[in-house]
This record gives sequence, C-alpha cells and structure tokens, in this order.
Amino acid sequence: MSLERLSLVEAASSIRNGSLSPLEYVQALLARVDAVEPRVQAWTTIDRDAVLAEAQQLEVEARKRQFRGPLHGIPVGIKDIFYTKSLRTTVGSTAFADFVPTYDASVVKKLRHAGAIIMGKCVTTVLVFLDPGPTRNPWNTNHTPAGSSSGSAAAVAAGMCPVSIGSQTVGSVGRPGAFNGVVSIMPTQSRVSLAGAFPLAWSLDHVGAFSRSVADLEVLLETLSDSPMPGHPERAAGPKYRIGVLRGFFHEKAEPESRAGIDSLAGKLSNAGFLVEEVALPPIFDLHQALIRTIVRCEAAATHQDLIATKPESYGPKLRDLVQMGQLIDSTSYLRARRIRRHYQRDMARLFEHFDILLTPGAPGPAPAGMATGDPVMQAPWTLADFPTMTLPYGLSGNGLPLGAQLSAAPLHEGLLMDAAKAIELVIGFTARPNL
Amino acid sequence: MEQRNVTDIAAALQRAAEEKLGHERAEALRSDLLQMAKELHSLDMQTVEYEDEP
Repeated sequence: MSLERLSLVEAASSIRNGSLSPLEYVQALLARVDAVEPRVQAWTTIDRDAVLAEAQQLEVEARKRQFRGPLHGIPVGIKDIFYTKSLRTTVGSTAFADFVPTYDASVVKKLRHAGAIIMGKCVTTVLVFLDPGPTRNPWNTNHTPAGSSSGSAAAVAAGMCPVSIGSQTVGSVGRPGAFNGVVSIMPTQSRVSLAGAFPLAWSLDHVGAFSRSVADLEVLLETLSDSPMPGHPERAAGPKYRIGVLRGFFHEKAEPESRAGIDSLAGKLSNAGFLVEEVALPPIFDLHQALIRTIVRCEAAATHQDLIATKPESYGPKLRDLVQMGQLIDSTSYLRARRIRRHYQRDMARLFEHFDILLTPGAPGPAPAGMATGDPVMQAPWTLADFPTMTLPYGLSGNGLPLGAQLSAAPLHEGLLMDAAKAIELVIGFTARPNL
Repeated sequence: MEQRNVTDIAAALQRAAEEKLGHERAEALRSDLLQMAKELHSLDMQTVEYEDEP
C-alpha cells in the first residue's frame, strides 16, 4: 500500500515495529502535497523544514525504541484557528495574516506530547463562518469541500495526512466529513479543551477531528480527551446496538438520493442484527433553529465586537451579516435562548432512554457545485444538544461524490458511539477514494 | 410582561439597525431582520421558569 493511504493505526504500528521510518513517512506525505495541493488547496501553511526536523528527531528516538506516545511519528493537519507556537495562525482572514502565536493550543500541545508531527495549518473559512476559503473538494474540484473545517477534511480525503483537527459551531465538522467522504467526530464540548482556539460562539464551539477510519479517530480522541471514554462491553459483544432512525425533519431536508441512501443503510443494519426503529422527535425540536441562530448571532457579535470595528475589510459578507444582526439582539433574548437550550438538551436526551445511537443523513445530499459551503442543517440539532456526533461515508451519489451517514449518542458517550460506529463501518464497507 | 408580537419585534429591530448601522445597511438587512423577529418571537412563546438557568 502506498504510504499516503496508510491509516493512523497502520502507520503508528509500523513505526513501532521499525518497518516504517517517520522521516520516510513524512517525506511521502509531503510529496503527496506537492502532487495534489495545487488542485485541492487544503493548506494555509506548511513549514517543511520544521516538519522534516521533527520527523528526523522522532526517527532517532524510534530507533532507540523510545516512543513519546501513541502518535509517535504521525503527521496531523491542524485547522488554522488553533494556535501553534511559532507557526502563523491566520483564522482564514487578512486580519491575522501575520499572526504568529507564542504558545500552542491545548489540542496541539496534547498532540505533540503524544509524538505527533504538526504537518501544517489547514484552511478554514473566513473567521470560522460561512464565507469560503480556497479549498476544493478532492472528489471533484468544481464542488465545495464544505466548511468551516474545509482544509482539514480535504487534506485527509486527498491522502495528504492520515488525520486532522477541525472545529464545529453549527455544522463545520460533520458536513465537511460527509462531503469529503471521510470519517468525522464532534465530541461533547467538555471532552476536549478549546483553549487556544479562535472562537465563533463560545457555548457552541467544539473541537472535532477527521480520519479515514473509526479506529483512527478512537486513537486520536483518546489522546485529546480530558476524561476516560468507556465503551459499552455488553453491546460490543454483538451487533445489538439500538439504532433510532430519525425521519420527519431530516427526511424533509434531505435530497431524494440521500433519503433513499439512509433508508437502505437502516435496512442493511437491521439485516446485520442491529435493532433499528424509527424515532419521533420531541415538540421542542421545532425551536432548534431559532435557538442556535440566536445564540450564534449574539456570541459572534461579542467575539467580533472590536475586530469588526477596526478591520471591517477583513470580514466576509455572511459573517458581517451575522455579527451586525447579533448586535441588535437584547441581552434578555439571548439569555432566554440559553435557558430554553437547557430544556432542549434535556428533552432531546430522553431519546437515548430507548436508543444507543440516532441515525440521520450527514448532509442533505452530496457536495453541491460551486464554492458556497452547503447547508449545516443536519448538524445544528446535535451541536445545540451537545451530543457527540460522527459521520461515516456509506456510498457515492449518481455524480460520483460521497454520501455520509450521521450517528449521534448521549453526551459523553463517545466510547459507545465509536464502538457502534466501528460495527456500522464494517457493515458499510466503504472503500472508494478520490481520483486525484 | 406584555407579550411582543412579530411586528413589534421586527419594528424594534429595524429601528435599532437604522440607529446602529445606518439606513442603507438596515434596508439591506430588512428581510433577515423579519426572519430573526419570527425566531425571537418563537422563543418568547416558550415558557421558562425562574429556576431555569442559562
């Protein structure tokens, strides 16, 4: 297998047993960047000298059988909103074009501690909202890779790194995951610290990650997690996960191809022994769009209060609208939304009294043509609920673009979520890759 | 507290936009502000209790 297709688990194991050199691995990935980056444009910054020097050092340690941690020698892409010491962090905006942090974000620190090589900074949309950056979808460069974690998802899909870090405030991990045909996770907010990440809306921002397999994300999340992630031994013993399929709102918002795809997947899971049933949403679900929009507008207005006044030219039109509208909402309306969000989280969590996992489409359909980043409608309900959520590619659309399924679990149940996702991944058996 | 209706909320938002952002910008945002007024009204209609903390 070519080195650019190695999974994190395969590469880490090969480095441990001495059959793969960290330097050779990173050189192969840099060669892949040279070959495909002009078309994909997933990276803002790669400091090749620093990457090669770090790989060299990790190789010296590996030869002595000294391993820093589970990611020893693994190159990781970092969304360009996470601070990286001595490596510029642009947040996708001219306002930060020359900003070089003096410290690492918490996730970057943990990755380095575990032996990862910070491969470079991946493109984000402008200031982490909907105004697109230059990244193209590796499956068809005339289509969007989604956002805001555009570069992080595209870099993994294109084989330029095995895993990457992203972030989600509404739909910025799950949607890029689905559009780029990779596996993604948005864990519960409290599981992974956001310290050192440029914010959009504090109460909704989440760290996220991308890979090409569930097992890779499990290793990555264990490295980043601030608390243990117990699985569910009883369920893991057999394919007895209770899967709730959500139709209603999610069917209405999905394109016919996506609706049919999820129904077909639900049938396959049922045939494979999963307990699959349709779920009804609680009445408060109808408020989710009003809630998340109100909260994002207000918190983004506060985040950007000073910057939009001093550097208005560095804003895209969509973020400018969001911030200016947020400036008009009174504080009691904002707090009312935050208070009602608690009701929403409580009522939605009751769905897990009968189900382990909820299944929906990962996006309304495949990645649309053009650069507009697509609709985060499938992710918003779960980000608002703060339920850990994954996307898995399950097939290709008629025009050859990936389709993604989305799985959600109860807060802090990432262990269960990933155990179930591994079992579902086996049933799906997705092996397609972009032809770059 | 007296309930606000969508028209009241939209009018208040439009006035605030004129004051903060100027006439031209407020006009450009008019349809978005009406949508936002509907959303804020839907939240006004939801019951919250004193013990419900943000």
